[in-house]
Amino acid sequence: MTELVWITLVLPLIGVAVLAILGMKLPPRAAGWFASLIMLAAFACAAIATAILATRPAEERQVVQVAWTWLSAGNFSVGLDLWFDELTAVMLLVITGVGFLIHVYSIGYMKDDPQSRRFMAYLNLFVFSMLVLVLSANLVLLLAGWGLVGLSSYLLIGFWHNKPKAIKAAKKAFIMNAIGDVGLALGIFLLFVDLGTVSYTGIFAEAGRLSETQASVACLLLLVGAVAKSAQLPLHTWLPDAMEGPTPISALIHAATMVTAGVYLIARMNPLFIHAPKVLDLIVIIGVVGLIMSGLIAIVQTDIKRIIAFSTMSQIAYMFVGVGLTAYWAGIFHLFTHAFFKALLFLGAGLVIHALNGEQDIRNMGGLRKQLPKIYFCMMIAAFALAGIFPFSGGFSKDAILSAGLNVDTTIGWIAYIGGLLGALLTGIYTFRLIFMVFHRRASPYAERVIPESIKHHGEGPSTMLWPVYILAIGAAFAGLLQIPGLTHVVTSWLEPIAPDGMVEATVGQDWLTTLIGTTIGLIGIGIAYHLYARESTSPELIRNGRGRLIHRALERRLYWDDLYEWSFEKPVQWASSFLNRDVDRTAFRWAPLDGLGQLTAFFGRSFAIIENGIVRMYALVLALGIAGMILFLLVRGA
Amino acid sequence: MITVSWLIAVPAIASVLLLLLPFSQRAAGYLSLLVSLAVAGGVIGFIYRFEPLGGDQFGDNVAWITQLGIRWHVAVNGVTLAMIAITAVITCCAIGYGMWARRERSHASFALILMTEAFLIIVFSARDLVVFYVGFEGMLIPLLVLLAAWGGKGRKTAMIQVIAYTAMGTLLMLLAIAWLGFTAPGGPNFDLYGAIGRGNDWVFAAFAFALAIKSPLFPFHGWVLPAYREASPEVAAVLSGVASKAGGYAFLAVLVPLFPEQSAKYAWIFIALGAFGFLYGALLAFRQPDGRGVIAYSSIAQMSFVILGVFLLNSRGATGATFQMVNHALVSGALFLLAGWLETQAGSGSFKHLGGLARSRPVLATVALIVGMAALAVPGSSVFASEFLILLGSFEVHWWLGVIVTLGIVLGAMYMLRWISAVLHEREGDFVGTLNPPDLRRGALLCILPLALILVGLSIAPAQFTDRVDAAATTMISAAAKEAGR
Repeated sequence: MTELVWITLVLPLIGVAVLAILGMKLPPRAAGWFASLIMLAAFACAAIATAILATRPAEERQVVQVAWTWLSAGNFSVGLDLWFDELTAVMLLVITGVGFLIHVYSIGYMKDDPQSRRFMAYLNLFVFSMLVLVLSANLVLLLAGWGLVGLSSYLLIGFWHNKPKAIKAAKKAFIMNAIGDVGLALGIFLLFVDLGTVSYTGIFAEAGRLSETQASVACLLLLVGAVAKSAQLPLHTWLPDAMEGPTPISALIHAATMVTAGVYLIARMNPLFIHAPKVLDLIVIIGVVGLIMSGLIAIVQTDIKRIIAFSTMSQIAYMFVGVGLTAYWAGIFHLFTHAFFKALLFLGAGLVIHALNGEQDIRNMGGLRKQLPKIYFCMMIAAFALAGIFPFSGGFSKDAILSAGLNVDTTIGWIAYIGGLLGALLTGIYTFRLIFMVFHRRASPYAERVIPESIKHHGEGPSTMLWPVYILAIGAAFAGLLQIPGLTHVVTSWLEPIAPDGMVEATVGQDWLTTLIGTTIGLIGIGIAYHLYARESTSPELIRNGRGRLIHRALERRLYWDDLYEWSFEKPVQWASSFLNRDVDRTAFRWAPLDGLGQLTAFFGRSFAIIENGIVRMYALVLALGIAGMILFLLVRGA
Repeated sequence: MITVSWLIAVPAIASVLLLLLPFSQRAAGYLSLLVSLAVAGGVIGFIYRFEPLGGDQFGDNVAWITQLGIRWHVAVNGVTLAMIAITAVITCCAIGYGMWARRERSHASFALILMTEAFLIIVFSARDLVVFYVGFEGMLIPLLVLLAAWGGKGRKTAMIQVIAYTAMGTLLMLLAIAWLGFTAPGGPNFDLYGAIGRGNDWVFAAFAFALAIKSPLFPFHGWVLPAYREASPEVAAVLSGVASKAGGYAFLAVLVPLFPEQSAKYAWIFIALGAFGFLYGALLAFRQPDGRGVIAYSSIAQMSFVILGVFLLNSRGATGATFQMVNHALVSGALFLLAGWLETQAGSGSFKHLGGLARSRPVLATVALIVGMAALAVPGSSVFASEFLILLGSFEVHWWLGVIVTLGIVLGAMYMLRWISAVLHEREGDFVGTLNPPDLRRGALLCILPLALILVGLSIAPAQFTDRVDAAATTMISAAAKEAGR
């Protein structure tokens, strides 16, 4: 079984190597299929390995294998260690499975791009990095994977590198994630100093030795890494800008896999976080505030991909709430269903953008349900799943998180519950605002002009782009059935062993009550969206300039977070750098010592006029004196 | 058995022959390359035969100037091995690059580079203080001539600055060494191991001053920018890649073992300067107008960081500092050669005129990205591994020290990303548009690619490096660490 896991890890790396060396010689389509088949093989290996894992008894499902020492100094040593358990298996399946579908989709999406082979190589590189992240058995290797996914994300956001906006977004994502890396690294240092180990096994066994303060600080530092990678408050501003990258990237990296790494980290380190209850509460608060804030911002966005990006932030915030409430299974369950419906939403949006020749503003869409019925159908499934409507997948997983809050029955639990329901209302509104404005309403003049031509050329899209969407639609519709309250328990029973200290599970009654309330609220949200955005008598401009226009403007500016960072970090660093370069370094450190030296030599009566001569001569003099001294000494000694 | 003396003698003799005999351009180039490759081969042999726990190996210890008790005592331990290995690699690449760039009067240029290599290996392997001084001072001569004869427009000023700074330092170091040697019990004796613990605060200060200038450690970095900007690319690569390591190496392998008491007592000064210099250099690199400026200030930052690592006086710091020096040599060597390539092919190193070079130049883009990403220590890279060790060591000394220097990583990311996008990405620069440089090809690629490949190799298995170096590096700081109570 471990061999299969190794193969899963190595396959994408082989893909990168082959595409890097042979890339230019392969025809683009062959390169695309090659990369995709690599992913299919990796998925097959992961699936078989998971099946084998499932046949084992629960207590033997945690496999650790040490390959070689990666880095060592003194008593510090980090191995290239592999960790395979139930949680890793879920992540592995999501990464390789959704990864495969998005590789196939990319063949169609990038077919006219001369750089498509480079794109495929980067995609394989990303998958490899993500696998390192989830397969690592120690925090340092996790950090390595953490950094490598950041690198792949940077390369892919900035894939169209002659687009200055894309490069700017890529740099922003990288730097915000570097801040997260710093937090994570400091957390690792602290754990090593306190516990003398960085391996999961070691940390989990020794975590009890930490005082609550020590555990809290360590968890807080890990959390800095988690919020940066998962685009949560307050390090979230890079994600909407990351939408400058190609759409398959938004689906794979910025929705289904990489951005959920923060959730994975918290769930993975749960034996440590359990010793820091205040940090767990903080995670819930971050989640609740984040899901409401990004839900609100999503309502006013006009770029189709940015709406979905804010929705991703909001949904990951739900996952944070789940893991923060120690309902790890619910957080991971939502991660799992979200991977389907959010990837589906992005890929669907990609098809819409494709059909509209690259237009992304939803105000220039409208009425597309007639021309793009298949896409419309799939997008509707994704929208219902996102809005958490029973019995679509997102409904089950989101309600699982909320009912955990009900079950906990503390202040934090109630904050989570009520905040989560409010979020469900917002989700209904922004999701169906998108649906109504893109597919319903009257077609915009632009859409009317472009669509018939585009349909004539390639229908709703090439089959490489449509098939992944269909498969994801099946997942988005039915993945929730794995865990029907009171009926099926696949998720809870599978993930139970990853939390040795237990996890929160709501009662069947609480679950069904939440499902009832959640679905009702979601439907109310859809109703509001219909009222505001579906009818021809209202228009986005009217709402924008209506009674809440000040709030509307503030939300359009994303509540000024970007401005905050620009003025508190970006600009000060630039000013400081310019100031030091212009006024300090040149005068104080480059010329002042020389002037001083020049005056010193002048003092000794040597050529006053030109400093330069003074120095050269002094140098010669010193050398000469040194040699003369030596010779003198030799002569004296020798005599 | 080949000893390290051979690795000194071969390039030294070759350099003299190249200077004296009338070789043609071509013959001089190939001969120099062959000699530098031979040295590299010798180093590979050392790596293969090296015993990590064996202490000094492959050495010679013979009387040299008996009246003064000066002995030709050279040897190789783990840290030395690391240093001569990068010296050999960077020299090969520098000579290769010089051939590609068709340096005029190339036989003299290559002779001087080989002479520098010989002196550098002397510095790294010397176990006698006078031998060390000969190497330390001697390497300046070929480097200054290289700067003076093949440098850019501002080379005169650059030279004066280099001479002024380094002369100040080495004068003091000479006095310090003389003091140590002549106060030895039982007549003059300059043996490195014999001088341990005999110095006082003043001797320590004089020594440290010279090394701080060479490295350079903030605030003694004034000579760096002009020198790195005016030297020809291959000389800049040697200067920043390996010549600067003479300072960092000597801190770890000479100063700290010689003065354990003083090193422990004054460690905080070096830690403070190192940490400050790390952030200061990074901050200055961020707004430089050209590639060489970015590399120069990032070198200041990196070397300050190395010295911080040395004076942490723990195993993480010492091993990390050695590793960081190797990584930095590879990174800055590659970056300077790339800068040189840009200056010849795209006509400028200034960001104003560059940009958009990734377009239809896949090889250049890949190599520059690998080097750039290593330079900003992306987690998983070998630079990350070495920085991680130093940062962990800092954290073990004081948690707040760890926090401060770890934040420097963000600044590092900022200036390297700026370099990458200003060269490779965004809109095509005006010079790029008019000159339309080709992709990185054969000659130049062969000089830069090995450096990138070694970086990749070290990223895959950094323990291959640290395992060989850890014992030696830890021994060097152990006495001082005991003094400091670590």
